[in-house]
Amino acid sequence: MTSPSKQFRILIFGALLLGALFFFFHHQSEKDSSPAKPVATFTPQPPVTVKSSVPTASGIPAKNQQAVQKQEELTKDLSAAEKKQWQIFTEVLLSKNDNDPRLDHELRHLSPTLKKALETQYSLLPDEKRNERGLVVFLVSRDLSSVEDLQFLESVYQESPCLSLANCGVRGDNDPHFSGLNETSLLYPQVVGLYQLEQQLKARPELLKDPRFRQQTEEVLRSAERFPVPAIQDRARGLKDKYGL
Amino acid sequence: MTSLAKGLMAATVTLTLSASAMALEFDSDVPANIKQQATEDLNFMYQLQGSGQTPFHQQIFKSLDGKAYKEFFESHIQSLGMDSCGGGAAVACVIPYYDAHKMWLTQNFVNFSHPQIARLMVMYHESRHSESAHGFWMHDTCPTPFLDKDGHDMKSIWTGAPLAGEPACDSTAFGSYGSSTILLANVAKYCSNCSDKVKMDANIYATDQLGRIDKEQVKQSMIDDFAK
Repeated sequence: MTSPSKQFRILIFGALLLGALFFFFHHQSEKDSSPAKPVATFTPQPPVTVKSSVPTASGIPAKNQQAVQKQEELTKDLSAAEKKQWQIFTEVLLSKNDNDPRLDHELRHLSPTLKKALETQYSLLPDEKRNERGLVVFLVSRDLSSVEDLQFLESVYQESPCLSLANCGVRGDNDPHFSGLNETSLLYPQVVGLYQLEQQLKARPELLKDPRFRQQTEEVLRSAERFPVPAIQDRARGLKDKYGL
Repeated sequence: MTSLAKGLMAATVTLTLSASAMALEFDSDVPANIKQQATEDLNFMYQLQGSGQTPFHQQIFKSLDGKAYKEFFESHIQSLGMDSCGGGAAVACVIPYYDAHKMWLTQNFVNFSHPQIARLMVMYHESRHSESAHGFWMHDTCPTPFLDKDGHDMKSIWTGAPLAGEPACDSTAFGSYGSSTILLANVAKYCSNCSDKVKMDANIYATDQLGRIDKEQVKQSMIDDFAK
């Protein structure tokens, strides 16, 4: 038999326990009823449809069937040494490994013929391959050595801006959380060109003593200023001011 | 699974992950190409070596080397899964109220052509959002007006649309934007086994991320830090 005082204590304990459980589950259900909230304020968007590219024998994507055929002819005029460099370029591009040491050891001071092949490759790549196109701009402009190099650079600012990473021809969403990342990648080839041009002029200011080189550099910057994206125009103006171009 | 059970699981994960790094796991529905890309990207990060670091970097990541980056990432993120992260152009996200130590990747992680260090920037940015002790480093709403030091509107670099009022800023150097900027700026300056391209990319993307710091004195303290 339980004494009345003991029964009373059990009753009180039970009431407290029930109260605590009620409080816990009520609180928990309030938390559960709120939707899972991501850290960034996502504006829900439909999934993107990525524009497809055309596969090639080399594995390097091409923008269309015509580009596939042109790709196959790219290396026919290259020497054995250049073909070896081309093979390295292809491997790096396909691996998506931007830290492949061969980029710096094997792909410096490229011959005019190899540069020409790279420039053609640039035009055959799908527009959406921003990093791959930027890689070509990087390799050509890292050691600017001729007016032809600058003419290629100028052409990069004469193309239409890429509107979205899924399909350069269609404007995508602009979620502010990562818009900086996405927008920088949209502009990547153009940003790389001006970045490398600045690095080259800083390291080798004597380049501008050559009147043809100077004139073509001015053409590049004029094209970049006309590129219809504020960040590129600002960078180009900054370079013009800095080097009196 | 009920949301209560998910909540209890998340709490358990928070408790068990407080001290040390754990091996990263992929959900079974992560496509092979995404798993491979994420693994290769993280392996690249885990083998970096540096010739120095800035004080802010030391404060957040301890040192500029792969071991420290691995410990940082794996002490924040335990597993990787697939989600739309709100759809659109999102690449990755952390949803802390669901599971703070899980990172979600989208198909855009492999479908979009970002440089490698930019993909990693996203992963480290998101991992910072897993820190419950700091309120998950929630982003600031960019102030209105949001001006640079010369008094000009801070804008989208692409569209020129003002960032004022957007939930896409940090007021501290140690939040997700700040810490990923510090990471990139240090890689650009001190990485001793990075290619020229990686260093260039780190510089390019750091410059953009710095623009998301909405307090001028904080931004200046970061610029000063990068000069050390």
